[in-house]
Amino acid sequence: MSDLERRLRDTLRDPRRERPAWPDPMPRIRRAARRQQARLAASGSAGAAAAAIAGVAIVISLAAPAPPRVLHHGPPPGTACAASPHAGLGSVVYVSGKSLREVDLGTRTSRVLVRDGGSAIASQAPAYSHDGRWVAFGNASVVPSSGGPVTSILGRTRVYSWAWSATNDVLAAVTSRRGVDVGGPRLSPRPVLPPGWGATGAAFSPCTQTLAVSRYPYVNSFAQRRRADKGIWVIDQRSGRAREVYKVPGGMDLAPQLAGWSPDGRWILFQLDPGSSASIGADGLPLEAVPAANRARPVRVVPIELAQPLAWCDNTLVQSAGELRYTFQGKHLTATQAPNWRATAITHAPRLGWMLPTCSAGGRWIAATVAPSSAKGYLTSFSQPAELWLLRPGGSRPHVLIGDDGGRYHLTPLGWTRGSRWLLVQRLQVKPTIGPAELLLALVNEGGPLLKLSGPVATAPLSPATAPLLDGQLVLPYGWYRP
Amino acid sequence: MADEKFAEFVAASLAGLLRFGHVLTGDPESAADLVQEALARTLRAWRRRPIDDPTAYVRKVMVNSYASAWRRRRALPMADVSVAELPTACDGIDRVDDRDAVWRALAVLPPRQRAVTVLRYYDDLSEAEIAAVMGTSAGTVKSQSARALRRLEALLAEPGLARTPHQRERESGGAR
Repeated sequence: MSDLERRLRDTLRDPRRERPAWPDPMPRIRRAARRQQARLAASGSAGAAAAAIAGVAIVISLAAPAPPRVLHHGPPPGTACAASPHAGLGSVVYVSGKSLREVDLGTRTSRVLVRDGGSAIASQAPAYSHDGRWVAFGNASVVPSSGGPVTSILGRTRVYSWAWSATNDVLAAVTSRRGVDVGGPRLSPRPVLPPGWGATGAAFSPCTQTLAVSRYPYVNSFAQRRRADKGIWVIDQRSGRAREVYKVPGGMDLAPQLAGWSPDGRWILFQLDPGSSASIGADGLPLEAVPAANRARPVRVVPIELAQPLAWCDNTLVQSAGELRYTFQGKHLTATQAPNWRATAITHAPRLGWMLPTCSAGGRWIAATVAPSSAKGYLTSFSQPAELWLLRPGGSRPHVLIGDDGGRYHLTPLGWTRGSRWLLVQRLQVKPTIGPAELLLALVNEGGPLLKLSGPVATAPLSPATAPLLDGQLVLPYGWYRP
Repeated sequence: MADEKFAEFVAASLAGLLRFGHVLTGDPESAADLVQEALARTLRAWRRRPIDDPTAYVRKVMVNSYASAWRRRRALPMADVSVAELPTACDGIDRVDDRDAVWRALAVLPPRQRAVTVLRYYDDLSEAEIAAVMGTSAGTVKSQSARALRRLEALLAEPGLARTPHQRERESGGAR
């Protein structure tokens, strides 16, 4: 036996790798078996084997999308492994006026989870916990998805934004005083970063309990702001150990805006906003990436883009990019991948503007909102008709999946089911008046054409007064649990 | 009744399966997911018909699920990740020994090569036995194993590998 072989044997049998067994394993194994059975039944006998492989592939985190930059898209399908009260297509929770409603996409049954969620209910899109048992909404309030009392995780503390862990019932909240607290439905809140630290955003790694936090201390004087520590930090929320992985060079007044993690948890993506001027939203800025493991110079991922959810086709990031100011104007889709992050355009139709891409599992299709590139206006583009298109991740076979019905609707893809057969779509009426928003399910044939448009499964009032704009678009604040 | 016997089997073998999952995936959380899915699949098979050697069955499901995920992932071009970019555990990173270096190098291997290596050096299986578990030929196992060893040798010869990114950062005095 060679020296290398001896070292391998020694390493693999290292007693430090021992793992404690679960205290009561059978309930979770039975639930997982039921989920597998449901997946197989849903995908039909022809796709059964593929679904089982895909299911396992997903749980070992090779295909899970990253946590969203703008939390309008629910928790990523992937790492959930514990019990779920839902099955099949899953459930969507959404804001309707001041209430929080849930619809089971399989049975189309709808119910009210919270009748009056207060004025902050639409400040951030609601989101399911990793296993679908809980729904967080508004000012970091949590309600069981099976119904029950509402708990405010941080009590009276005002919250700027929050994010679920992808692996536990833990919520990280950036407080209005720019600290970070963690808590949960069964976890007392505790501070991870103190008030005044300058946290502007936080997101959990898709694989671990590690938090990425962007830092930009708010100080009055311009000179102080230039000197202040600004950057991207990685925090182990259990031990409290913190590391800076990117530091804004001294003297520069750039506000890092966290975008999220890569699906493998190796990269953190962010934008740098000069003087915290909101230029990302107005004109777009480059998207950058740094390795999460060590301090390094950032790599440019997309030359210029507006703030938008990170859309992952397995490990490939697909984003809408373009230097022209208005939402659809000159916008094309780019694809890029670690570690070089060289962005290449995958759409080549200058007359069309492509926004809000979303990838199906396994990277089969990208769905996007498409309108004429000549359409101008950032704050009004949501009121323009837009179609829903599909194309392959390499850019081939672009085609209309759902038309705008003679200019009557603006269509937005919200996400795919795990088996990539169904696409959840928002249809917003734009003529003769704006709203309401309807959620529909589109059944997509393997070859690309639309087989069936089903719904609406939910309808809710939607206007700029009831929901924040997402990349210049109006999207119903919603979360989706995909078992 | 079938479920009761299965519960007994799980109680007896779970710790070993989790350990096997950990060396296979390199990550305890992925290991837990992999073990859970493999046990669930075994339970479904168990209810249909008796399984002679359930431990071997579960391990086979784990190995093949892990390797299949790799096949699916190859549909897209893979990033050539260098060791320096690999994440390290957040706790206890200051004490670095040879096992840590080998562990980090193992993380670079593609899943099929890693699975072959684990079955060979953790389980002490022969090439024929590994081939039976993975549903491939002994020749493929041999070539995968040789490739894995060559890759590991090259990685372990890299001067920076014996130190964690944390240490490298300290030595270089912070930002690069």
